Amino acid sequence: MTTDRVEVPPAEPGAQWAGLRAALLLGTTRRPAPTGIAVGAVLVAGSASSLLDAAALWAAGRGPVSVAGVAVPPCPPDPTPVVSATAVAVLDLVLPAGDQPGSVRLVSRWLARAATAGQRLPHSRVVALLELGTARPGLRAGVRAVLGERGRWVAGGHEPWAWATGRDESPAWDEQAWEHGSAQERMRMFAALRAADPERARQVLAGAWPSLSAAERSALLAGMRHGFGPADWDWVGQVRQASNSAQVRVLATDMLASDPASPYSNELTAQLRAWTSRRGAQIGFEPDRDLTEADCVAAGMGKPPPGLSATGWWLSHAAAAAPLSLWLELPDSRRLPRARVGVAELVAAGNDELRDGWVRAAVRQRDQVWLEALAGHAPTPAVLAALPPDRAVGVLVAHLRGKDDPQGDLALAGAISGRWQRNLASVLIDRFAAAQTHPEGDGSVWLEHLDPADGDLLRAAIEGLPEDPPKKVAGAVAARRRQLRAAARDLAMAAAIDAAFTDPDNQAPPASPAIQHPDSPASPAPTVEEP
Amino acid sequence: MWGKCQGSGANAYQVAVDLTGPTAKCSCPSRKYPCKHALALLLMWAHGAQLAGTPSGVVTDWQASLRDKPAPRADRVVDPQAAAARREQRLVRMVAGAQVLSDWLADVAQAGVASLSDRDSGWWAHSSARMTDAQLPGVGTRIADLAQVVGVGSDWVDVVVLELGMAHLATRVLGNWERLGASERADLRVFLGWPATSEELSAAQRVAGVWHVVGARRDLTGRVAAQRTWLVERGSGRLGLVLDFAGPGGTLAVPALVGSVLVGEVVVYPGSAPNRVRLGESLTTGDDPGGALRGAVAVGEALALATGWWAVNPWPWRQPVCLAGVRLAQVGGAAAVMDDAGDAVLLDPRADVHQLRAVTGGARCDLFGEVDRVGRLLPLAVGFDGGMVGL
Repeated sequence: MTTDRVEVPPAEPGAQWAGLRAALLLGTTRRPAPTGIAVGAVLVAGSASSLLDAAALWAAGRGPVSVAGVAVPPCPPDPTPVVSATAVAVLDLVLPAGDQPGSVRLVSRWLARAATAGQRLPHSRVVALLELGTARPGLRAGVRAVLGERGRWVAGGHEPWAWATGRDESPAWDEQAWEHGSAQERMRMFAALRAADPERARQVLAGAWPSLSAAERSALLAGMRHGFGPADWDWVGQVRQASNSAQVRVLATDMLASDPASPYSNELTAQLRAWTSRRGAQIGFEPDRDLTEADCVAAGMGKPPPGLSATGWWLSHAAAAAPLSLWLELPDSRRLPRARVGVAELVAAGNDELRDGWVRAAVRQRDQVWLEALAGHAPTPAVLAALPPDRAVGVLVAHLRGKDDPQGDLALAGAISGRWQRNLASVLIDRFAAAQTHPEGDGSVWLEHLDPADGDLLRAAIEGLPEDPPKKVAGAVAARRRQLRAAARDLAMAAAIDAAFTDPDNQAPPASPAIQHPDSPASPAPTVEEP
Repeated sequence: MWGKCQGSGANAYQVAVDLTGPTAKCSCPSRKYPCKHALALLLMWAHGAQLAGTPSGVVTDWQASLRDKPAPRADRVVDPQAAAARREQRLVRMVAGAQVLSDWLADVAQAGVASLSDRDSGWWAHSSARMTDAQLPGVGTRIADLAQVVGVGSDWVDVVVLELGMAHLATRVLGNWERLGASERADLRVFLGWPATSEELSAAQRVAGVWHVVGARRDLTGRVAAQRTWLVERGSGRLGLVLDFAGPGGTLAVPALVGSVLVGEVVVYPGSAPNRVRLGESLTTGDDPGGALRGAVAVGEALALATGWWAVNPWPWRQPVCLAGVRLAQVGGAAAVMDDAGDAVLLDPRADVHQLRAVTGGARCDLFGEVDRVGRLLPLAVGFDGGMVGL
């Protein structure tokens, strides 16, 4: 090793480092090290060893130095009070289990209670909730309500959190952003424009249509469901006829079919009138030719699923689009002028395809008489969801009384929105506990529809489960016990959440100690909160 | 206590539990210890099952073997001469190993740092293993870590050049071992991977005080989880770093809560400040909250302090810093923090910038963290009037 120690004028440190770095980056094989670099007392002498000596000296003698920065504008102060320490503790208990279906409901409950109390998240939990809302769009509205000024400010610094900034509620129309924005931004802008000015939104979409991809077309077209009306019929009808994409055609058809007055529905209704007849409560369907798969596709209904005839598929779709009054207006072929037919009789006498169509028509047309008749015949989730909750409960309880097999109970009951009335809750829990098959579903339905006050029903059911069931059903009973216990636990947690926002002991504390802000010593300073 | 259990085999398993140990023996082939049969026996005993009957041969033999087993030695007597001879031997092997490291460094310097980005994982694994074989496991680990750095980020060349310089420095300093002081030897041993023995630690200094937990972080490097906990002694301002490691399947110690206080003695590892420490057995959690972050200084001063530590012990990649009155800033689009004078330090890519934004809101605050050799800050705690929040 040769290390020449020569007096050289000291170079500026940055230049010394840059020279050393460049020499080591290339290596001495490719290019002998320059002999002009001096690091401390070492003059690099062209050998690998002297380069390493210089690096060693640098490592021993030098540390990092500061750089010039530009301050980030601080978050404006937040007047909203923060939730209590108890509420934070409860939130921490439900957050880590965020992947279980029950815990999402609990987080959602927590968010709703906090919003009702007019309180916000502590700053230290803002990021966790923004991440949760990003992963689960269903929680976003709840998260947004409790983010506070700080949460919105934090979200503003990270594109995936743009949903939380409040900007997306009604973004102003911006031609530039519409032309060049991301698919998500365009969707948000289009939805806002559609809400504010449906006419203009349709014109904008029609103008952009030729340049859009099929995926964008169906996404933006779905955005037109909001405020869909007669003014849209023409253009959506053209899209239905002309589009190359099956997805877009089916979507446009569905939009038109949802209104029994649209030209598309009118066309189908006229066809039905010509091809159907009524004898008593019996509906007959006799098309003048054999309907094929091609007829269904041409009508925008898509291909019939395996096992269903093209005729049945066509009838079901047409019945879903036609006004329900059609069926009562059909003349009775027995020519008995006084014999009027009731909706319940039609429903009872109809075939499955007709009833499928009627269910969709009744939901679309919000026809109470038909909904009740259909629900009375055989309740389906869609029908129960469309009925007023107290009527739905009445229909369902009556239906359950006549049904031994508990399979499908929860799918039906889950369609009824809001808390179950206690009589329904009691029937459902008893039937669930008595069944000896493996339970369906993950049990999230309990927490959605039960109240903490219904916990006694769950506890009684758990105690009533057989201690020592026959081996054949032991696994099923154990699974039911697990689900009931999980539901009882979730309800207890729900009660804790409610208590955290209602007990007078848990009211929000006064404002936390503040950090003084250099730029605005007079204004209230942003705060750092204890976790 | 003994019993028989009818398992899936033809003969009932003979199972015995010695409650004084407790230790268990069973004739089943299970590789788990204690086996389920022994646990069942313990459970029956716990529920008050009556014990009766005569133990079988297996059980009596086992009882006899337990009696014959010597009791564990209460304290091993260390032969100081043998210990010195072991140290001498290890040193000789390490000096020989340093030649392997020197050759490797020269190869890299000749081929150029740029060539490292073409190396495959096999080459890195081989390089790392060579250093471990040459009795330099610490260097082996640093080389393995370096493999993850090469080609990543804008300053990886600076990182590699500094690491090469530090390794080269270590080979030079090791050659002067006889002239080194105790503290310098300890620092070099940490870098080379020659851990302090339990005898050396038992003789280590113990420092009593009120220790404020000012930072805690867990990292996963390879398959090893590491937990770093920083303590500051309230009266003296002395810093201590608690390191915990857990291999695959292991669990780390429960992390101390940032802002809490531990009262009592810590064992200070040999070497120069800021030292690694181990929590003493008698340490208790203080009742009073830790209060505000103390000893915070401006960015320039904090970096100068860290540079001073590096001048004494050049091998740690990171040093603790406690910054006063800093707020979020940008340096050429990258996230940073800066003080009122406009002096900024860039944030480490691993820093949780969002959480820092959420907790500070862009307002001035004190910050405890670690700064690395290329000047990137990893914030660990935010201090404010009367308290602090961990990140």
